[in-house]
Amino acid sequence: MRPNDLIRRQRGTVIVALLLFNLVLILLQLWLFVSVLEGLIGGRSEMALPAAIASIALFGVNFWMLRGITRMRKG
Amino acid sequence: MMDEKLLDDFPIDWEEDSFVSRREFFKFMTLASGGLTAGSLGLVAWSQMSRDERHFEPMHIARLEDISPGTSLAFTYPRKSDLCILVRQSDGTVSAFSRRCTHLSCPVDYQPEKDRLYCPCHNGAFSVKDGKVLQGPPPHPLPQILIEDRGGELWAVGVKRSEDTE
Repeated sequence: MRPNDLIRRQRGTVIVALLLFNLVLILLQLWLFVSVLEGLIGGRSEMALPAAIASIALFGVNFWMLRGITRMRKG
Repeated sequence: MMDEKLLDDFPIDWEEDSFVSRREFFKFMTLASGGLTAGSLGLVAWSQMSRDERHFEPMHIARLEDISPGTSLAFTYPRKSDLCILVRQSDGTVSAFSRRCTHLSCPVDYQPEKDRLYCPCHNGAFSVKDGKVLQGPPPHPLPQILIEDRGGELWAVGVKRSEDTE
């Protein structure tokens, strides 16, 4: 196997791993969103701000991974 | 052999087909993540809005003297579908609440002998003073209907949600 093929395969594995992690984070965001919405409908609002901060952090991680993948492509 | 038969049965026009690469999918998912973040911020904005007390078009309910102490009167406010109950307690105090139990929306009834609002569906009970949960599965107090006494005439003017009992 040539070194280039090996690197390509490794990149493919890394991208799939990041994609799966991305999916997990989005599911977590979705869960947070629905929980807060249910709470607000039920008259409880104390979870809204912490959940939004967590959601921003998760989006930051997702965006950071996307940047990494874009750089990987260029590199 | 099998592949050829499969392609005969389900031919694919590769030139007409379009692929979404993993990177493009990643971009799309990150966009969805951004959308959920924006939604969460929207929920924060919503939670900051005052929803504790809302005023609606005033509506005449009844004359105070027509409701004797220890009795109740059913009415609807602010919409025709919003069931409410007005209670005149034994000491003459008047209070009104939404009639929908906060558990599963069964209508509550006034029990003068126990001085409480009772939900027969799952044995829930609320205080007639402030609508707080006294017993049973209801998770929240009953929303209170704001009543004004205008020269012996009772008017509903708004709805107030109480703090949670939890």
